[in-house]
Amino acid sequence: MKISYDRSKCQGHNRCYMLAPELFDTDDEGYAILLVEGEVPSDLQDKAQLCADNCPEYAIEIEG
Amino acid sequence: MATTELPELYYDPYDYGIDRNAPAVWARLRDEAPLYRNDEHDFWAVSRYDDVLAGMLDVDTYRSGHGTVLEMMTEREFPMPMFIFRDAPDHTLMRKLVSRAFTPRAIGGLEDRIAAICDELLDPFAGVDRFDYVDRFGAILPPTVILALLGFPAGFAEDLRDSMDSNLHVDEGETGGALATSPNRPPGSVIDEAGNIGSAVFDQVPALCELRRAEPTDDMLTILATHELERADGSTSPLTTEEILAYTALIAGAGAETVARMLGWAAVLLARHPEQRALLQADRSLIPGAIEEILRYEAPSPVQARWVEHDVDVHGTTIPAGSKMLLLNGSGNRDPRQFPDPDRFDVRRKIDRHLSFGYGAHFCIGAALARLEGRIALEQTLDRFGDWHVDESEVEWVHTSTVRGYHRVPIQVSN
Repeated sequence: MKISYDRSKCQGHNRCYMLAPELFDTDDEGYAILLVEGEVPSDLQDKAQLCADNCPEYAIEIEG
Repeated sequence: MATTELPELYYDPYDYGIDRNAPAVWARLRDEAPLYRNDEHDFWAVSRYDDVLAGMLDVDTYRSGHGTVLEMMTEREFPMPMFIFRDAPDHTLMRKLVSRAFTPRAIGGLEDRIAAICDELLDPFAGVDRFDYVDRFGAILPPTVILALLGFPAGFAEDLRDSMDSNLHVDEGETGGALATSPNRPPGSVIDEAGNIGSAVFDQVPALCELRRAEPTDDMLTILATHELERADGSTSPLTTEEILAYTALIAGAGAETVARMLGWAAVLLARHPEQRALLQADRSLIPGAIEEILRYEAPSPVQARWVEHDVDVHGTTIPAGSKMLLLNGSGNRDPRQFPDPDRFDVRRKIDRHLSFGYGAHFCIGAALARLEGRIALEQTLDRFGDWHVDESEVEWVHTSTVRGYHRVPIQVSN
């Protein structure tokens, strides 16, 4: 499973950080920072999907 | 055999009777009139989950710049400089200025403070067998928290609650909000023609801003008083007093009114479903999910008005530019096309996307704070009052076209 995040779509709702701080951090203005590159560790795949499903801006994409 | 005919399908957000039975009326709208037209009040409405979500995401068609409360909408751009009533690019720039104050880190730091406020408000009711949960707690906690976040001194929470209640209130048979019709006040302005603010709460703002400019702190008034706002033309300049007042009124109002309604719904729904409450008593880790279900089941702000910017086809009908569209997010939350068995209240329900905080660019900036207040309030309520009871013939409703819930909820506590 691969995860990607589109910074230009992010509006700083912080759902991803609330749901999965292992995968996302936020900057000082509240925009998300993706902490993993490429492959999502198997124990975090459910959370990655949850983040993608919950993003109000559809800024997170899951592949595979 | 006699057949029972349903009454003619009619909906508006003003009728008190419809408001109380809104989920039943919305169910008929979804099935019989997924695009609903009301000639009397000159609006359209969509009620299905997919249509409401699509409407919220399509901010180029469904604009906020003419206002988002039906009776306050204006032909021209809404004059009050609040980002909830703005579209991109202004909306994006104005929202960004304060979004840093609502990050999970900023909000998470409030946990102990919110718990202490709950203690202060609820301790007096230890051993009391009956009190008004909304009037004495649910409607006081949120303004206390939001005013603290803004940087107000203590003591203005009840003033804020009272002024918000009257701003949004609509009398039976009327459709006008006080905010739009105050005498001697330019439409949409928070300052009247004589330069008065006319509110015990917001009268404090200019002097507080002076204090923050002299001695900055980490509160939101400091941000508003000392940061420059990036303007749509690329320039930056400090906020005017009117702009600071608008930010303050928006954040204070939105943070106070909606969370108060959520807590009222929590008290009523959990009393109505004691088996669900027992699940929360047995396993506190279910509380965040319960907050989501309470928000889904009874959206505190279930009606969002938008201005149709250009002709758009919805369910085969062309809606002309300049129309008013209601996005019934409270109805979308009860759509069986999205949520199985949607009228069942289930604190263990798996919910990815309910519509109570809106969606897309205007998603509630205070959602993380609302969720935190809800969780702490519910934990304390379960700890303190165990199996409370609500006689639903005794509750009193608020009456607005945009916020739905209770003004008073007397609860009976079995000590």
